[in-house]
Amino acid sequence: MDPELVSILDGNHFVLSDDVGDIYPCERAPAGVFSFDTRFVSCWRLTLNGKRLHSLSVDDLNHFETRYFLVPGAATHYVDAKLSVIRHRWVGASFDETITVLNHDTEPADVRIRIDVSADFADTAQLRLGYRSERPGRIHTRVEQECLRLSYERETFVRETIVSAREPHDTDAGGMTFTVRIPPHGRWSTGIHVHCVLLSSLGRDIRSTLAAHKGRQRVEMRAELADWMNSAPRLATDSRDLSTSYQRSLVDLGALRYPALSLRPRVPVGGMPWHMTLCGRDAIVTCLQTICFTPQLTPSTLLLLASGHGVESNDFREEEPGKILDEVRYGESAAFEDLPHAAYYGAADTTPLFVVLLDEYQRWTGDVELVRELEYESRAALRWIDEYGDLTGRGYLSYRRRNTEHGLENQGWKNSWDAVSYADGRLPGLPRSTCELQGYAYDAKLRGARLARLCWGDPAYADRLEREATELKVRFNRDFWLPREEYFAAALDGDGTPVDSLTSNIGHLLWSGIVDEDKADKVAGHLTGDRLFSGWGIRTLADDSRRYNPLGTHTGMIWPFDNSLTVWGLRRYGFDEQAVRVAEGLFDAAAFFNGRLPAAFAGYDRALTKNPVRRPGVDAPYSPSSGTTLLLLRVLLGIEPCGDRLTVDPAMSERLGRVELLDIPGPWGRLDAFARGRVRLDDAGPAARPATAAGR
Amino acid sequence: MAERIGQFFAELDRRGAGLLPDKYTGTVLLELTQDDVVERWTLVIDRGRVEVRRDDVEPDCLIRSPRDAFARLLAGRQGVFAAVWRNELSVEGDIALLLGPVRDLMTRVRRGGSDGGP
Repeated sequence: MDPELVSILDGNHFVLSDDVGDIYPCERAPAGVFSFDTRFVSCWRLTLNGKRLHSLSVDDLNHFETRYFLVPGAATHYVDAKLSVIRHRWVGASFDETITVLNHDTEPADVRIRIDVSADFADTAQLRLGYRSERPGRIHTRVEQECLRLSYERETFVRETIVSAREPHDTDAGGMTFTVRIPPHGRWSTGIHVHCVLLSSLGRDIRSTLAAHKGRQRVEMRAELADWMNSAPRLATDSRDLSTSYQRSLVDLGALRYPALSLRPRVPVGGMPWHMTLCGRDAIVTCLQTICFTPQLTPSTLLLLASGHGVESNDFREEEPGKILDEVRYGESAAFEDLPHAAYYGAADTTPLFVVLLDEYQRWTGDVELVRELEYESRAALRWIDEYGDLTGRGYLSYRRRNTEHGLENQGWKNSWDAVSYADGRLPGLPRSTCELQGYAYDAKLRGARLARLCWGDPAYADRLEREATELKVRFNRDFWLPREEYFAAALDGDGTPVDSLTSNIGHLLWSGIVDEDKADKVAGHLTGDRLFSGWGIRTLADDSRRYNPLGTHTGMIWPFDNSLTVWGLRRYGFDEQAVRVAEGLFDAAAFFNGRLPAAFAGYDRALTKNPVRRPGVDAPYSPSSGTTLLLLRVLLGIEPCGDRLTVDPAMSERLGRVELLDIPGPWGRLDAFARGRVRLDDAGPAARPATAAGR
Repeated sequence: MAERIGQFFAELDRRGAGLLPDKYTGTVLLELTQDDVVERWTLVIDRGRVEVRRDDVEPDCLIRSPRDAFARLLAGRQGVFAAVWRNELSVEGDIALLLGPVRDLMTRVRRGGSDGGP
């Protein structure tokens, strides 16, 4: 999102506007009122007596609510303003704004308040791709007695924006006008209600009936936010920046939950503005990151993904039996299958990660019932890995898109077209077996084996999965290891040739545990060496690669979530100092972003830029970036479930000082973890100083 | 088209016991419309066993669709998710029954097998 825009959001409903609260066509970013992948309002502009307003300040009340303090006229004139305006808005299932005009004069004021309104009903997926083609549907504008009704209609697909106001007004096709006289030192106020309707078919008419619920709705939302915050563990620390990041991340994670239509509790969306929908990978990763803080996110996510698991082989959707969704979108292009993402399965990692998450959830909650409920989908997922995922017959999980027109060329988390390349810039042939996919498959098999033994009563199946995992590990360490470079290849080319670029993907290998012990120190060294580590974080691609670009999405930018999994991996293999070094870089970066890490930021060397550099068009908030703060805390505290006990093994930097995480939920009820930072980072690089800390 | 719909329910009636995993339970009422004619089919799913009925039963999930649109879904020419977003399938109640077992059944009957699961 453009940092200059002001946003409020609740699940997949969100509003992006300028600093006076106006919405108008903007080249930089998609301003508007959005819901279910559709822009329901594309123009929303307030004038007083024909004049635009100027911003004095903006109050961020909470994630769904904000308030603007404004004066009419240009900046140079407002010092002795006779009028001022407070614009208070919130977004939930609808969008509401209360406009209050204050008269500061000793004389009455005659004021014409005008709100210009229009809606283009643009599809966010198409906005993102920059499509500007002729739309097949038609936009209708109807001025009705009580409201302005804008609609988009394409066959059975109808979306409506219904604008109504509390105070008397004149409505025309372009908006509403209020003509009022405000007494000396008096005020005038109106509520404006914008109802965004996904109109039902078969002639059913859904009317704007939410007016009675507006106030209650907001109260409920505030209570729900308070509950969400109160149910999470409390962080007590000497580091104000860390505390800010933690609070910000929790609020954003709460905000970025949406109610999928299948009546389950809310699940994480990807991020704003481009991924305000179910993104399989983002949802799974977010749950993995946050499981010991907000475990309630996970069952709904697993159940939703399970209910959408692939049941047939389909090229358009890239669906296969057992495969877990990549993305679900609700906009026009999805509904008419202009694009395949009504239910898109073009990801090779979501399926093993589904099993990984189910096991992690069981470990942290002791919940055996959900594991039994999802046995069918989990077995189907594990079967998919071998039956559909191994496209080369070499025993590696790989991908080659089946939808050659709209499918993603790369189907791991680095899914942009140029994300996988040789060091000299060549793109490898297909199918591609990227390294991290093998780590996920290995981990999924081991975790699946654990669940089969513990919950499904099938030790023979468990034995088989473990045997397959062991064989995969042996194969992988033989075929992917580059002995001269001393790191793992980013992928195997379609012909089996190792793709020799140095990438952040190798960090995920440590997390999954597929790396042989004797190779791990080299991997850790590369991850925290100058070619990958910028000082703020680990770049997606080494800076001496041909395709390296510090602003390239997957060819140089730093993705916090990617780093968080790597930090988890570094600690798993005992590289505490390296883990702390990377985590500190990210904490420092988060401080510059006021605690809200964007999906990615530039890969420039820290010595070159004083601040971590943002790029427009990158999601923020972004669920797995918010989850990063939480996972880093978990990993640095070294908290792990062990049956109904919680073990603590911290590695905390000296700079962070005291870190206490209180009321960690689990089968044990609630427990606390304490640490005092003792790891001192040496500027010259990670020194071999052992980490010590106190825990209970 | 009419044939495909008839075949679908006949096949469910014939093989109702072996198509779904036993995790699914729920009653689905399908109302298929053509012109002014509404035909109703009830699927009673009891721990994976599917029974086709024509009498009125209070459903957990009511699915309304034009007959031709439903036939296109059965033929696999369009996706179920997209049909819901586009309002060709209108759903009341527990939509998870449509996205889970009913979607699964459409595929299995079309493929003539039950090899979608483990």
